[in-house]
Amino acid sequence: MSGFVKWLPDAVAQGATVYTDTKVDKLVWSGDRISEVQARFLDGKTRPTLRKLIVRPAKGVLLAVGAIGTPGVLLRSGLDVKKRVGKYTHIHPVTICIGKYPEPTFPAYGVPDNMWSPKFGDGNTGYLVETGSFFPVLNASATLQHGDALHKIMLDYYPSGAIMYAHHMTGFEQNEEYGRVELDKYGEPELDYKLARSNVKAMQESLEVMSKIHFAAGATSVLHLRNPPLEVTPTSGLDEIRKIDFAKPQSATIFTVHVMGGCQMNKDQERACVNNDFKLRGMRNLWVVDASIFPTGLGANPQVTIYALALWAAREICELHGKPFALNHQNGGVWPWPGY
Amino acid sequence: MAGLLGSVFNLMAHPKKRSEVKVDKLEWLNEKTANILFAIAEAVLGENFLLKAPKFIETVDDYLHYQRRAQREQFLNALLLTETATFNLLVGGKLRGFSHMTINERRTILEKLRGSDREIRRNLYAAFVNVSASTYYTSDLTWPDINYAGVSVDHPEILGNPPPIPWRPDDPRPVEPNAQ
Repeated sequence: MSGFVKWLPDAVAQGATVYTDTKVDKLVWSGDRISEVQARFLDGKTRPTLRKLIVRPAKGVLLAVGAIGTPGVLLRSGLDVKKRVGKYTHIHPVTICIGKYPEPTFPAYGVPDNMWSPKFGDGNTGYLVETGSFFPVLNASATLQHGDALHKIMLDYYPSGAIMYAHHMTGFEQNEEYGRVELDKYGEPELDYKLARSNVKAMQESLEVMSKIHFAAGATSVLHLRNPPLEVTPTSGLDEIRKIDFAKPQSATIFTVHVMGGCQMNKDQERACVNNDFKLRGMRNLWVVDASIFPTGLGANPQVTIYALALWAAREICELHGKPFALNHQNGGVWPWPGY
Repeated sequence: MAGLLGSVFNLMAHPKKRSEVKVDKLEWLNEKTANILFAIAEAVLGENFLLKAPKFIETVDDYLHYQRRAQREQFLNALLLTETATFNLLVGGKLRGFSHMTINERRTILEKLRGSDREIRRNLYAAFVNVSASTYYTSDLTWPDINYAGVSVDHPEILGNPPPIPWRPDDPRPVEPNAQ
């Protein structure tokens, strides 16, 4: 379900105007109200042009720029709620390994069709194990190797390889800082992320678990994207995995997905930036509706949760303005996924 | 700070010019940084890498469009820094510009960066090998070398095969709780 296929066409059908290739510079505010959104149009390569767009909201502004972009807009606008905006930002640190099989695996053939298991997902630092398609550039961009050894890995692990990855839960260790979004010297948001020690241990474990799954499925060796690369076989190398210190940058490649938090809706009043009605604290006509309001990482893909929060926010805003809120299927239409 | 450092590195960097490097259509890389990038990519990928990735320099230049401005400056400064003789003396004991070294000497520098205790040096290694390798393997001329046929080709050897055997045939539970 894509925003371009479903949500934006629905909004346009209801009278919305969509400005593409624009970038919000800042929100102009006074007291508890946003009075103006200042944006610039971008060129085909995302460079700001001199053309400006000014929007003066009749009822309010709904900010949905993501867990890096939303703190960026708020910080540029001087709307840092008690110095909390951008704090406690979460990613899912992702560990990856590639199994080598005796037969071709066609790892990039057909429609991407992932399979996952929640078996190891419990607890504050659980992880979701997943397999999916992968393309040569993924391996090339993540292998910390050069020269003939790099090309050998590409040949060995591409045509008969299978990828497996684990996304790790974050956000439940109260004493950990996790990520922080701040503005760089040009006013662009920049994420600095610190791995929690408890995640490091779980990341070592997930690589060991995934190696064993590969071997059980018939892999003859498993490549780990350590620096330098680590090749493990059923009889050697597994004990090396526990020595990878992910907290030391560039000891191994770590992927990141699903940026969340940084503008939290949280029952902990010391961390909350957004109230339960999605309004930014202290503002009457500014709602935040995206993954930045998550209080922790999810441990799974956040898209459906973001959709659910958007529906909740839409209902809140409709009720505030005395408008009826009804989903399409409640009026006889199909919603949201047939048979879901 | 990055601007001042960049100016200093720019004064200190005098890369070897390579005839293969064309700079007339580049926007972010200039003659110096393009030649340094070439020297790094040659060390990472091997000689004649442009035969399989003829648009390598132009592709990296295009990537730079989409970087944050601060990140783009950091990458360009990293290229200039790597070319300075002082840096190579400190890292690998060679008082020469990176691009003036043999490939083996450059790979020795890369090894020193990879194994360094200093985070910034390991970051340099990761940036150089990741940018070089990923740009190289996006070129479809490299794909036959790794038996990759592309995403849109038919594989009759797959389509003609019988379906795989059931998963966990002796397990009475369904794989998915809701699967029927």
